[in-house]
Amino acid sequence: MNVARAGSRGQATVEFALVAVLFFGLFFPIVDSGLWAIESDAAVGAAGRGTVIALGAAHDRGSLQTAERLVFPAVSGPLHAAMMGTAVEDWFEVNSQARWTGFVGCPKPADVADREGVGHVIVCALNDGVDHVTVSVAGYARSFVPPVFGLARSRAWGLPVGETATVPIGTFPG
Amino acid sequence: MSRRRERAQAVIETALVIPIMLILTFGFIGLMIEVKATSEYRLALNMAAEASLRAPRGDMAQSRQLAAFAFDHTLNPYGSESNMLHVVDPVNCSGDYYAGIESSQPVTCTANVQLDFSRSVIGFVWQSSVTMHATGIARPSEHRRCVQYLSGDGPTC
Repeated sequence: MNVARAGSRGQATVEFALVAVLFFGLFFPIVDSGLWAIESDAAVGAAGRGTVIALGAAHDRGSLQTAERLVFPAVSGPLHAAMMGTAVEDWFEVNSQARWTGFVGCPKPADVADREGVGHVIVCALNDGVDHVTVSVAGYARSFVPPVFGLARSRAWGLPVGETATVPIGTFPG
Repeated sequence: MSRRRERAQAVIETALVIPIMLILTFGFIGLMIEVKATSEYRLALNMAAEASLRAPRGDMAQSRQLAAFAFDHTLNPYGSESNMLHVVDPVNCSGDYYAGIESSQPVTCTANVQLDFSRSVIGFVWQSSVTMHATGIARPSEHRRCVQYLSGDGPTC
């Protein structure tokens, strides 16, 4: 009798372990992809808004360099609200630090994760010197999903966020 | 006999439940990728429309060139779904501004893009590709409306 009960308990434990792994293996990717969609959508909005601001300010102030500095203050608020615990940083503040020495252009998500770690997203607004203005939002946003269960292309406790908008200034600025 | 039947029942239940759960999971992930791809595609179209206004009114060739550049460089160059998005019909913009007509009507840009999951695991659930249609809009500022390509740099209105 006791042997039979112990056997039944053991079976229940094994079944629970199998079901739990399967359940969380499916549940966590769903949560991860939902978070990723929200954060990426915010990045898309920020990149678009930032580009329009940079182009407009370039006309009003006559300098694209000045206009680039206006992008971060304009987009950081809504972006920070959507990023759920992820630090949103200004490229002009970050790139003066030693770990970014020699880096050219706007960083990609992997560049940010390598230098700043997971949980950092950088807003970068630059012109390439040949009349193109680029606004990018890149980094790895914080994820609440354990690394084993995360999406395939995410880093441990991080989700890739990378959005770039590039617009030519053209021969007719303003 | 009864234990064998119970085991068989458990196997059948598992065989039914696992595919349903996999379909739900991959279906949802695919849906999230589609949401992100759609917003990115719309951004690329809006940037194309905005860029086309960087050429003087009536300079159709330059407007088209600038719009195509902005569209190609904004449609995610390194994001997670970039290898799944394919441009079917390139960006095409139109509007009074293109024709050199002084008007407050917006410039509109369209392009057809296909989201294809066939090269990923999600392709098991999302068998067919998703074709996206949208329109990007940008309105020329008063300053731009008044400067015409052929008439020189000064405002004409």
